Amino acid sequence: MTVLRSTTQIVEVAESFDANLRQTQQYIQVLYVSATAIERPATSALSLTQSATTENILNLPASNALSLSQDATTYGVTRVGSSLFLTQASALEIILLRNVSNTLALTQEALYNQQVALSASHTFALTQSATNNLQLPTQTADNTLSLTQSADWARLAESVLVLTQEASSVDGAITDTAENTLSLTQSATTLTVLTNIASSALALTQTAVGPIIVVGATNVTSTLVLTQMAVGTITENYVILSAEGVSVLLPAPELDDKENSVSEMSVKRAMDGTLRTYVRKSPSRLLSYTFDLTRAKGLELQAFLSAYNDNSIKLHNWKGEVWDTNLMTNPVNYTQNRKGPNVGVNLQFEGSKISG
Amino acid sequence: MTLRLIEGFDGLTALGDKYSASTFHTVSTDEPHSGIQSMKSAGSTTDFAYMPIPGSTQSNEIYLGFAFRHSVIPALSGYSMVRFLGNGVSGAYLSIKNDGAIQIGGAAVQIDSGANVLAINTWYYIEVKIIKSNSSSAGDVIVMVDGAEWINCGTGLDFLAGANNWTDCIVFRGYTGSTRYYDDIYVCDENGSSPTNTFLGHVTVATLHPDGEGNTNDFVGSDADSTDNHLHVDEATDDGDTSYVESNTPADIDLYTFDDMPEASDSILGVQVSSYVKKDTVGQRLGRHVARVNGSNYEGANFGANSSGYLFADTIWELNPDDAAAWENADIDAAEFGIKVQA
Repeated sequence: MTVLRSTTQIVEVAESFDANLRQTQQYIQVLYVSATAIERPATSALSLTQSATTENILNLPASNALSLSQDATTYGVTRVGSSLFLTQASALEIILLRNVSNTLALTQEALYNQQVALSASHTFALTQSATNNLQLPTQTADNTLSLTQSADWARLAESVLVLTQEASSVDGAITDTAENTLSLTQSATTLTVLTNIASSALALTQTAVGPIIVVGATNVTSTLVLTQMAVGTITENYVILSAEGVSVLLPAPELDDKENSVSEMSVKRAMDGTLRTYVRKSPSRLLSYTFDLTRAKGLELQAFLSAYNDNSIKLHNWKGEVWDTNLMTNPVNYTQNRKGPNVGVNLQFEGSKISG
Repeated sequence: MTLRLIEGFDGLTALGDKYSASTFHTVSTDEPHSGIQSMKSAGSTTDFAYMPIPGSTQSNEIYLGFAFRHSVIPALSGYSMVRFLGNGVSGAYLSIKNDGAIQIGGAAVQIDSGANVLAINTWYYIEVKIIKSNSSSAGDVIVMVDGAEWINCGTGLDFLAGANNWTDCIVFRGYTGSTRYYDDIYVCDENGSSPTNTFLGHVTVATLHPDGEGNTNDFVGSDADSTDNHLHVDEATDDGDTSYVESNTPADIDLYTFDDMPEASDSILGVQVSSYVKKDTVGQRLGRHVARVNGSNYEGANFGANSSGYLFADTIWELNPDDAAAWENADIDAAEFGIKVQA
């Protein structure tokens, strides 16, 4: 009994040590799925190419409409990269007698949400072009290019916005004034062609860039660069005879071409012996051209003169001059060229120069 | 309870304070996946760190998730990176083949991830599902990497040595010449309710330290007062008996406020309160962790302490005990946590 009591007493003593519970460090660990954490890249690409074309529409208004809605979204817990590629083309060709309107309107939005931590990049690239071709004389050609763009981002993000625009008119109106109105980055070219002869060429290139506006920053940089060039070139090496809307094209004449006055001067002696000189002035000039023609061209000239020799003939020569003339040679004699099958013919015109 | 373990290594002074580990396994600031530290394996096939899973003998399925990074693809296949132990017996293991593919194997079967390989010097979040049975069905053994399924076993495969066995311990291994890092570890099982009864996905562990006195401060600090108790337990590196709080009076509670969550979260899957505790002498003494949320105290299960030295006591609250719903950042930012002398 004593032993048992003793044992009990030992246990009681041990429990009475009254140990302190001692804590030297405490922390909590929270297991969570981050709203932003992200180690591995995830990409989603959506590319779409569309085209709408209307051709050979005569005398009626023509319109092309191309509307496109795209959405590219990537969800995930890792780094997110979204790319939206868009290619659009809208073309109107060979439109006659009506105003032509090309409108390409594009609204794009690329939005990143919850892009935090690590690096986030945002690239928004857009290329647009609007072109009117083959606009006839006296018609108005308008190119309108409007853009609405926005790039939004949150937190750490970089945005790159690249924009290229081009508006051009080709083969424009004969003898009419060609006007190009440019804004921002544009180029316009007008090429004027007279019948089969390229009598003039006007090339104009303009470039304007800027302004570049940095939203939310204090520094704004604007850059405007403008380059212009106008070139006129005479490339004629022919003579053209035109009457009643019909023309014949002849090669440049032989070297003995002449241009003489048709004014007349006469000297008279009066009965008292006084010498008097009379001058009859005329604005007309006498043009004498000798042509070396092939047989076919000779026959063509013969047919032209037979039909219009009593008409007023408009003459364009290789010097870029335009004359209003009458044919003075009658009859027209064609001589066989001893050197070959060609025929020679001398033509004399009397008339006034109206340009050149 | 289905969430069995949370470990981010940021609160540990030495890996051996909490886990049995070889000298080549350490906590290191070299390459944390999150926070300030991860577990580093310096490069030996004899490296190991044992991580027991509390209560896992009730589990038929074990889900392990961990962030992983390595510096060298092994020249030889078959050396494990993670091994599952049950009752001291080695069962299934996860290894890296000599082409970088992941391989999961067992007693008589190995399945690898084929063309899916682990690049070096890159963090991956790897999740593994392993079952208790040694005869698997499709879907019983799965390896996920960054949320994508890399391996799914077939039917009738035996991943375990011998008879059916549970997994009660995870062993993290090293490999000669390769520096490996492990971080943000979780273990859960199939019990309980969603979401903590299956794969949790790519998760992060945030370690928060006390930053102020809580509602109650009954413990006495090593400076013989109770006015600044949180300063005795807020060290990122524990200082042992240099600075502490203690009490031998049952029902005494010491509460502290904690750092706020470091970032926004999509979901919070659990909060683990960890205390580095001991008894100052022999004798019975039990403690409990206390979470004070929305003005009310909620207590965890009893834990003991040794008089021979400090040990870690952990309590997990998967849900906010005040509303039985998932924790939210604001809940944690406003909550107090602490310790109680239970008996």
